[in-house]
Amino acid sequence: MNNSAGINHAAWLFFFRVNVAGIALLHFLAIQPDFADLYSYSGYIYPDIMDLSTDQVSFTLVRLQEWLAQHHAGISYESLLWICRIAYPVSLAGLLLGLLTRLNAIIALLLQLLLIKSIHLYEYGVDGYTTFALFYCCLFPVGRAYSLDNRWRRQAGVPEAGAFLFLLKAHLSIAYFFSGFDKVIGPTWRNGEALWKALHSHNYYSLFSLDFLANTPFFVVSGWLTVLLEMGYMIGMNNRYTRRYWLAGIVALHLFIAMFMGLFFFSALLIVLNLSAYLAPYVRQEKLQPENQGNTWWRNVSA
Amino acid sequence: MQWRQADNDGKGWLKRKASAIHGFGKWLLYGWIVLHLLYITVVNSVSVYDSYRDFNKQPRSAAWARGLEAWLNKPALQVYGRYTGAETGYGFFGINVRSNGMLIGECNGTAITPDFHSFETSLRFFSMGNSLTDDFIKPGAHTEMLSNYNDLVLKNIAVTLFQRHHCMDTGIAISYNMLDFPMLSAVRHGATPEYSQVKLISVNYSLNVYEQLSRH
Repeated sequence: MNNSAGINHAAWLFFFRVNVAGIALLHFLAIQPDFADLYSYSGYIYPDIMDLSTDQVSFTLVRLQEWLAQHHAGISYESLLWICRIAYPVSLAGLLLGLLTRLNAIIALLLQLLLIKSIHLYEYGVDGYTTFALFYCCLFPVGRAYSLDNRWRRQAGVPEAGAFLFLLKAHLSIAYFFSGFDKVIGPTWRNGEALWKALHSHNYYSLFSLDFLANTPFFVVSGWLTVLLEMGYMIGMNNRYTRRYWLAGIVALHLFIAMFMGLFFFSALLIVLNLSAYLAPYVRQEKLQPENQGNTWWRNVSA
Repeated sequence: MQWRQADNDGKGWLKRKASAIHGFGKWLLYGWIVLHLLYITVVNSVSVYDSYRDFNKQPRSAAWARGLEAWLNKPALQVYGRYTGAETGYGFFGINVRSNGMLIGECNGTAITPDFHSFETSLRFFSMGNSLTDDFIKPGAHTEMLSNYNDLVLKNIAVTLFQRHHCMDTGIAISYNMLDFPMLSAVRHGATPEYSQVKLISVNYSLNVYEQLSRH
């Protein structure tokens, strides 16, 4: 049931958990065919060379191996890599199913950081978003909504999670504001050159070329729309009259990034975060018991 | 009966105080949320300021930014930012979209590039090439140690390319090539919309011991 404020905490917590874990899992599986190229001593950058430029803030695989050796638990790099390579997707699967949810969320977060900081030169934007999304899976009561853990609970009710929803919304608002602000203070997003250049960056996938629009206002208008969508996010998304249109705009922005820049996982994760914060909480549930949703949840949900 | 009464009194005390305990926890959570969001705001404010100054080729001299950066660099806050994901800046493609390029090796006159099975890996390798060569295109001091490190990484990539492509030569060259595309304004004025390659850095590595020794 939606609470008195009309917020469906079960829906957004479930949506958030399943999709964050699912996307992180798919993202990890996407690099499996080239895993050795990224992580092993037969790859393009050897792990110990990669480690020379890593900061000391968190563990890397090389540093963890050295630490274990110092504490009389020596293990080969390859064995440690295999353990992490198996444990990370297993923890994500557990998180997705809501099995030992918080424990699996913590393990997934630690392993995600371990794995990504071990190849920090190969890192890009999606990794930072994945880290904070997994952190929020550790913090939010995501295991209380439609999870296997609920089978062992005497009282399966979704706790009031208004503060956590506020945190997610505020974080996204700050992120988008600074993303837009960083664009607007330079001339290239204002005159369309930045968007033109982004679409012509080598190695970015594009559904089809947009060069035929060079002599139209498309790039200038799109650049300004991007800036306005991002900087106005906090107001547009948190106003009930404009929310659905702003959400549609943001989803369209990320779909554009996926289709014309090939940043599929980045776009998918951002869409999921936005839907978790601004669509799923407003899903109406009619006369459902908190424990036994099962298939009836899918029939009764309505945006 | 007395111990049961005492037991119930104990439980009753907990029940009476439950709302206070619960309330205190709620305020702790709210306080942490405010601090967490403040941390994210500070990280991004400093990042935006730095990118603005770098873009305009001006020194990052503002006292407030340097003070905040010093605060953010404290070990405890670095660990906090790392494990919560709050250290992430969100200025993607801002203030400007950087020029991109690719690493190309050459063996026996043949261009060779890393081959990957998945698009995601090629995307990551592409990001690595950009971050490695950021130092060559961004203003600022380039330390010898950083140059030596970049040289080591390029050498590693070159050796792996050499081995993967079964290069029948005594040396391999590797270069980072900027892929330039005409600006929108140039295309509007008639420039041909096609890529041109600008070799930014090029390094030769020889596997011939005598060649290596003769260099020294």
